[in-house]
Amino acid sequence: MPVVVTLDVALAQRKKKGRELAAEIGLSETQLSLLRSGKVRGVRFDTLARLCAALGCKPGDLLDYDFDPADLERRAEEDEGA
Amino acid sequence: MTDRSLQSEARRLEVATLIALVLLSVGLVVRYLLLPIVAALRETVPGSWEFWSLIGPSLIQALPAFALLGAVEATHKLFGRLGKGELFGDAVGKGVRGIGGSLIWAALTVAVIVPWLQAWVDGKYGFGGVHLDPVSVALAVVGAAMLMLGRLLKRAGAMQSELERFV
Repeated sequence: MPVVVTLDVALAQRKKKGRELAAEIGLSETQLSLLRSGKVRGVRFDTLARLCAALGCKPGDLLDYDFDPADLERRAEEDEGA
Repeated sequence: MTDRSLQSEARRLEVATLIALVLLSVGLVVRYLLLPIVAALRETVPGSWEFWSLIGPSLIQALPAFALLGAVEATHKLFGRLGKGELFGDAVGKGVRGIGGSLIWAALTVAVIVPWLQAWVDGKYGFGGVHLDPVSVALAVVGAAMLMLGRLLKRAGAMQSELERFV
């Protein structure tokens, strides 16, 4: 199972709009929308830090993961292909 | 150098290459076409074999220059793309490969095509041989380098797209 972005939950809890958050942390609305829907390849640490600072939370409040052994197999396949 | 300063420099170079392109085109047409036609008109009947035999060699000698004109035109287009902010990617890579292709064509015309056509004009039918000289070798080597650079730029574009998927 891939890492799930739970930013929507954090936004709802703080009654904050995506547009406001995007402006606050210096992302475009499109980029934030892609992040919320999990359609990004990854998140930079500085973006994560800005999100946490803006929402007053920890990274674990924005990301979720359930263990899946298939994730380890996929990584092994990628390393072999490299 | 920031992207913006790269873009503004590219826009200046786009204008400079356009001026070069126009001057070169006019120069080539005058030097290899108009002047020989004027000279031929003084000596022969227009459309006669003698008329074309006076103009033909000049047109053959012009071939490498016209191939290089293609390289200047491709460079002008490339600066246009860079000026619009397209620094990497397929289109820019294709533009650089276009320059490389034109340089290789120029090398081929100098080394093979012009000697071959000249041999035919001189009545020596058959392959005119390969005439390697520093100009044709340098053009071919730089052209090949541009072809490789074009492929690298395409790869860089793919890497940039991948990076943009990180927020």
